[in-house]
Amino acid sequence: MIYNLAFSPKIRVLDLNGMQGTNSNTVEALYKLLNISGSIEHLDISESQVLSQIASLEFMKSIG
Amino acid sequence: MYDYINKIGAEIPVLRLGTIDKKSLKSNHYWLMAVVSKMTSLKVLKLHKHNGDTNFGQDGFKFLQKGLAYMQQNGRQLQKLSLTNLSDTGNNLHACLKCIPDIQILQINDTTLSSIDCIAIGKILSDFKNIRELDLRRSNISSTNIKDIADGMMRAKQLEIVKLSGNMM
Repeated sequence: MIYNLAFSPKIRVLDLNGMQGTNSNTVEALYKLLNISGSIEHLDISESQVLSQIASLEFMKSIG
Repeated sequence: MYDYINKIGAEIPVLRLGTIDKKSLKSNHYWLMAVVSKMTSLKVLKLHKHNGDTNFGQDGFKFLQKGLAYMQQNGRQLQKLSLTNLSDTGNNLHACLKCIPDIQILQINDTTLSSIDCIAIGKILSDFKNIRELDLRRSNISSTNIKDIADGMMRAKQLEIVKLSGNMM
């Protein structure tokens, strides 16, 4: 579902605060979304399990 | 409550209502239709169930739909509908939204969405092109039923704000 948001050209805010049970697929979907979408201004992943998996250089590049 | 609504209902844009056990009502959930019909400035409707209270049920949605249909017939529509801690919202909700084709914000929080609910939400996103904010926080969306929403999400070109916090994915 996260990746599918890349097809929403107006998406500005994505709140994934406290998201649980994330895996590498979730991180990859988020990475692709941020790469493809040119409209996201606000991403909240605080207190989410995804935080522990995104500490890669590629991911950080994707969020600028 | 009717007296209160009759006096100032026309000036209230936001209404928050709790569920009522229909067994304690003489006319089922007719009250809901009456209240929504009388509030001519209503833009935001929030329905919630406290833990331990009776669920809204199909009857509740049926009378809500009648009230919303009355609003639509009189050139009025809600901008935002919020459902908190209500179950079995799926198909009932889609039927209600047919009377609010221009709805902009949909909130379904603090519940457990079933596969049927998720399929309905996906269809809602496809069918209602003015929804710009979708709030599904703490709705127990799991990796198994998330695909049902995802298909609709891909067609929802108008979405600006998506809130999914507190779910499993």
